[in-house]
Amino acid sequence: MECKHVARLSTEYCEGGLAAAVEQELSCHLRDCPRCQALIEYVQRESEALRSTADLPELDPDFRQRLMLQVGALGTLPNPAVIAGSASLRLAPRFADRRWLTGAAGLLVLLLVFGPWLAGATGIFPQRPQQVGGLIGLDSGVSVPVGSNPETLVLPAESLPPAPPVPDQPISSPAPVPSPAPAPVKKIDASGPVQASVPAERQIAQRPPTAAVPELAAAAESAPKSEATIAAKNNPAEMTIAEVLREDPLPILRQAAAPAATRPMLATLPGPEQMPVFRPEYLPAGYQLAGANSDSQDVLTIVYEDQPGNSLVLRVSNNQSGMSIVGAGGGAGGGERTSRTVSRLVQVNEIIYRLEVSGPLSTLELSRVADSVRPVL
Amino acid sequence: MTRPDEVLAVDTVKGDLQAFEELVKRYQGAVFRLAFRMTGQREEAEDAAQEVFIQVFKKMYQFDPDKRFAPWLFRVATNICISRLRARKKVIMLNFDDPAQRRLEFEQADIDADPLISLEKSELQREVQEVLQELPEHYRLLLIMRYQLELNSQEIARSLETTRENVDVKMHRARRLLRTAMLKRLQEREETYGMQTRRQVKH
Repeated sequence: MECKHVARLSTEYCEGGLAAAVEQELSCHLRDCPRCQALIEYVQRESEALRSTADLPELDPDFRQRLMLQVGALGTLPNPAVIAGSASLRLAPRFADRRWLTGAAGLLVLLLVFGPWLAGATGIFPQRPQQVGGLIGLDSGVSVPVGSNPETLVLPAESLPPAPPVPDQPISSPAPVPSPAPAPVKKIDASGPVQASVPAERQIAQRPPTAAVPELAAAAESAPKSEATIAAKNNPAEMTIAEVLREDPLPILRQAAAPAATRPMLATLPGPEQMPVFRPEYLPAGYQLAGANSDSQDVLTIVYEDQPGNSLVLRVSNNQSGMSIVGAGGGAGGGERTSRTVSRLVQVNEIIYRLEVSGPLSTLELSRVADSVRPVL
Repeated sequence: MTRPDEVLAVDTVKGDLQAFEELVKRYQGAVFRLAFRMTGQREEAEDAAQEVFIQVFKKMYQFDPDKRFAPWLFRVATNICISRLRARKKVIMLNFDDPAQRRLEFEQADIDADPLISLEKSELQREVQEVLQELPEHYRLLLIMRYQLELNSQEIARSLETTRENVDVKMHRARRLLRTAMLKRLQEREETYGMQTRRQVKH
């Protein structure tokens, strides 16, 4: 047996999954090969590390109690009908199943044949609507036109709900529209209060379904808004980029957002779509935020440094803008020949952005940074 | 005398909540461990574990008492963990000249484990758990089920609805992939440290 065979069989050898003859042969090899001995020792330690629960956090001691409260609220029998069915299927012989099945089918046929007559005789169903010529089907108040899709039912006119009033000029209607869904794209003017500008067509599209029914719309308007409003304020999806930046713990970004008149940085990114702020969740040891800027139409640049001149540059661009890859040293503060660049495409809200992380680090470290970049939505 | 899991499951269907609580007591640790190793976050792991047991309770009538309960439970847990991982990926990373993916590809070359041997026990444990999070989900799942839940190949095969042979083959690849990733991680680190040392000398 050669060393390469030992390498391939090492796991099985350590865990006792080899045939006796192979195991004996491998053991013979190990006696004379210190390198393979070390490998086997490592594989055993690796298995121990895989089994380790040293870093495993404790489960909340109240977990079971909370869970049982939830389960109790669900009810004791999740689906009695199916349970009864499955129990009978397990306990009863097969022919019994068929017998019940046959009985049920027969009953269904009888109902289909005599149902209309029974309904008429007993007066269970209300007065039938007027029959329209050329319609066939069961006489249960709903008629199906010949040759039409059976799912397209023709309802009698009096059974339809009254049509909602149609506004004369819906697009220019000044009436306030309750809009629980936040506008995903917001323009930010750093010099003044943040305003969401939503086109008129989108306002119509965002109109909630309650507006179609006047009673529901009125009830929705008269309902207390306090909790919903507070929840919306606390919801990050409702916050503007400027608000996110104000809450951001990174001081440079706060600085960028606050005196916006002098530093038109992240909060004033122009472009057809407002770009989200991106931030890596992982940075190599020692690297700290050193600067951030939007140096062109829709390119966001964030610079991290561990010491002056050692820059790790994150660039985010709207992929449609066609920003070319700037090679080594292209980032702000970069300039070392040993710089590398890794790229990623990231999709956020159906928009694809291109990330580039450049710096004098290994591609593995750059990849870890790039993979950890998340948008602050 | 303790009732078997399968009896408890049947009693749960009959409305015995204490039977279900006993099942939770027996398996909450394992389900939480699986969820934590898959998601890497404590809060999410607790939420996932809760979702698993509620789902199990709701679907208990589908459990076949002629089969074993644990693989069925772990199948539900696995599905929930994976669907949570997928839901979490709202930001979709597209593969774009990605060296991180390439480095995790299964390599046929023999592995020289020399650099790994020098790792201390605690360091090795930390590195292994970190690399585990970087492995593709199906390999990670196999390793977690084998080493954290201590299931054998047959039990894993039942849980994942596959064959034992398939589990053995995939497990072999998972271990090899783990070792490759560990080795490359150390080599990259060595390269980085070496570069930083050289830079400091230059300054």
